[in-house]
Parts: sequence; structure tokens; C-alpha cells
Amino acid sequence: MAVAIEDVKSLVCVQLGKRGVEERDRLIEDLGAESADLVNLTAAAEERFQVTFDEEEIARVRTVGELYDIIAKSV
Amino acid sequence: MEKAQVLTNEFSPFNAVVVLRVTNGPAEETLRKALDTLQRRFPLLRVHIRKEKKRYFFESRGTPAIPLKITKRLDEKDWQRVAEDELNRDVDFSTGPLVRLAYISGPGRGKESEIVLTFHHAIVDADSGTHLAHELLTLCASPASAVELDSLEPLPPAENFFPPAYKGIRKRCRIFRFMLRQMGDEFLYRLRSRGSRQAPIHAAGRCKILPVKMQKETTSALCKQARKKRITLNSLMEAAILMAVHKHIYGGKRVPLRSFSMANLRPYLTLPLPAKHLGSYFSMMRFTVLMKENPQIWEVAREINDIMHRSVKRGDKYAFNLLGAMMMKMILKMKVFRMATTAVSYTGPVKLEKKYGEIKVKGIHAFISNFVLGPEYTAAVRFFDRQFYWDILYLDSDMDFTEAKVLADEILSILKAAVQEED
Repeated sequence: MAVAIEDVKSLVCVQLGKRGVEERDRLIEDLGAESADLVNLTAAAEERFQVTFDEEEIARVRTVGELYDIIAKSV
Repeated sequence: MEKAQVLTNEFSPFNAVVVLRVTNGPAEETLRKALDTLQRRFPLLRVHIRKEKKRYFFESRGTPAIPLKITKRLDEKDWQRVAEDELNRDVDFSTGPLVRLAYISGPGRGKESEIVLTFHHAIVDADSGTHLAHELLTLCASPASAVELDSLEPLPPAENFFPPAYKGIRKRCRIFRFMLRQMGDEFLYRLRSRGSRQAPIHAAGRCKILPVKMQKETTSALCKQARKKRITLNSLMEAAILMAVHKHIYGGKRVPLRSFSMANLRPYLTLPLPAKHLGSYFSMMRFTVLMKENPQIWEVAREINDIMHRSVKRGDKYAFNLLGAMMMKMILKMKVFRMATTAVSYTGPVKLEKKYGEIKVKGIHAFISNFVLGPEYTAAVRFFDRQFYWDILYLDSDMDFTEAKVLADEILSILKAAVQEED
């Protein structure tokens, strides 16, 4: 399955209740995600793109672009 | 928050102790040099605390070098005895420095050793404590890297970087609403806990530790299961520790129990603070759960998850931080109730390398001192080498080792069963 950055951005918008996000936006600092939001976001990404992350991988994700990177690497 | 920690420390030792378990540990003189470099780099490692008219100040003049105590390693459990001693022994804040180090140096090839760092909690939180450990190991592995390190300016307290909603008149309104909610919670708690066990307040108690590790397979399965159920690992661990204490100390009856969770403020401040800046930028958040008879782990975890999420979204983490000193002052003055039943600090994957030159990191443990008015059973949990490290702490006045071990085994068994539970 090919993943486009726009798919990931749209997922982030839905999960964090934002109208639009940029690739460089930081999930916590810029988009205000709390830990429960991050769990929801990564779980939704796993379901939507049929991938599985490990804890250390998730902990390294800071931005929307980095989330896209780990998804793209896993599909 | 720093003031709350200083007040607590005036009542009883309140230290953060980090234990780095390594092989091929550094030479003693290398460690000494690394400490001197760190003390030059981080202003908070060369301060003491001056008290003046009920106010506290960090002062750098005349603070001595970081104490380094070296002992020979006799057995596997030496570090546990040293860590307990460090948790129960004051960091003398009036003379400083607010950090000391014990090196348990092993013999021969492989040189299994432990580096035990003890901090006054006012100068470090989980992020900066780990970062400091990283820099210490880097300097030990490669002393030449010291020339690349610049001196860092000390930063003001967290309050200065709070979002606009927690400044001026808006801050007062939010604090007022927060206090009303806290009073409501207190009223309900007292009403519901009438006639049930009250945690005893002992005259004294020594901190005892009980480190346990969870198997890699269970850890991995638990992470996946929690994510699938949209529950944070912190909530899951809070649920497990509460259920264990509920069953073995509160007889499994319907009773409200309170717990503390820690919130890292660093990424939420108007100027996000990287971990290299030492300081105590976190908040302790207290919540109450009405425990039923035969509670189910995922139900309790869900409830905690929802309570915590609502609370952080409202901004309670800022309110707890702002009111920390006042609340601690009241608790220490009244001495009539314990702050909570349990406390958990889950800090996620540890940001340390597995190898620093020749030095290999085998494990990392961390403990925060507790005292007779604090929770009855606490744990600092982290993810390292694909395992959950549970660093449990209890007071010998509350329970003995066997009782503490029963609770620890119960926690592990609850979590193991949680993995197998179907949707």
C-alpha cells in the first residue's frame, strides 16, 4: 500500500481536531497533542495503514513529517 | 514546584536517585573529571539553596565540588543498598551542591559497576536527569568531547513559560475553578471513604526499594494491546498498581482510592525546553478512582485515561504546578492525611544509548524518595531494552519486603492477564 503525506496530514487533522497541518508541525508543541491524543493518533495510523509500530519508534516521532516517515517505512 | 520540593525536603529527605548499571565502567579519575566538567557546564550543579524570610533562592557562591564516593562492588545487590541509603539521606541544600555521586566499582574484566546519581528534586526532572546521565557517560567514554560543551544559563521557573491562558486575570479564574473542583473531589472522597480503611501516618519510615522487570514479550504485547484499546501506558500502569493495592491492602472492597501521576510540562511551555536545561519542569496530578469489587483492568485503565485526559485538556497540570508549594505546605502543617494511596511516574523509552565507547549500559533505575505523608506504594516505570522497568518504592513503616513483593507480583500478574484479555 502506498502512503501519501496528504493521507497522514488528513489523519492528524481528524485525530487532533485541526483544520490543517503542515509536515513540519510538531505534534505536541505546535498542535497541542496530549499523551492520550498521541495514543489515538498512532493507533488510528496503525489501523488505517495496516502497520505496527514499536514504542521506541513512536517516542522518536516529533512532527507530522516524522510520523509519515515511520508509516512509509513500515508499509 | 521547586518550592514544594524544598519544603518537602525540609520535612524529610526528598531525592531523585538514578542508577546506571554498566559494564566496563569508567576509571575513577575519568569519572571525577567528567563530574567537574558537568559542574562547569550546568549552573544548577553548582548551587545551594538560601532561605531568606520564607523565600528560597539558588545561590552559587561557595558551593563545593560534586561529592564522589567510591566503593568496591561486592555483590549484585550492592547498588540496592546504596540506592536506599541515598534515598534516605538528605542532600544538604544549605551548603550544596544539590547532587552527589556514588560509584560502585566492580573488579576485573567486564568490570560490572553502578553509577548512582542523587539529586535534590528541585534541580532535575525525568527528562533532564536522563540527559545528565547521557552527558556523564559521553564524557566518561570520550573525555575530549568536553571542549565542545558550552556553559548553559539557568532558566526561570516553569510558570514564566506558561501559555497565555495561565497568565494574569485568566490565570486567577482558572485557578479558582480548579480549586472548586478540588474541593468537590475532596468532599466526595470523604463521603465515599467513610468507614473504610484510612492509611496510617507513622512517626517515621525508611524508603525501601523493589526493582522488577517485565519480560520483553509481555512488554511488547502490552504496548500493542494498550494502543489498540486507545489507552495510555501511564493509565494502564496506574490501574495495575491501584488494583494490586486495592486487593491486598483495602480488602477489595468498594472504596475511593487516590493516585498521583506526573505530567511533563517541558513540551507544553511557550518556549519548549530541551532536556539539556536542568530544572524541575513537571507537575504532580492527583486523581480519585472509585474502585469497585472485582475491578477489571481495562475498565479501570479506561476510567483513569479519561479522567487524566479531561484534566490535562483543562490545563490542570499548570494549576497543580502553581499550587504545589501551597498544597505541600498545608499537608506538612496538618499532618492528618496521606497525600494518596499510590503514585506512578511512567516516563516512556529511556533516551540513553546502549553503548558509550567501551561502557555498556545494562540497565537504568530511578527512584524518588517518599515520606510518611506520601503515597503508600509508588513506582517509577520506564521502557528500556524493550522491557518495562518497574522501580517500586515503599516505606518500611507501611509494609515489609514480603508484603511489598506480594503487591509487585500482583501488578505483574494483572498486566500479564491484561495481555490475554480479548476485546
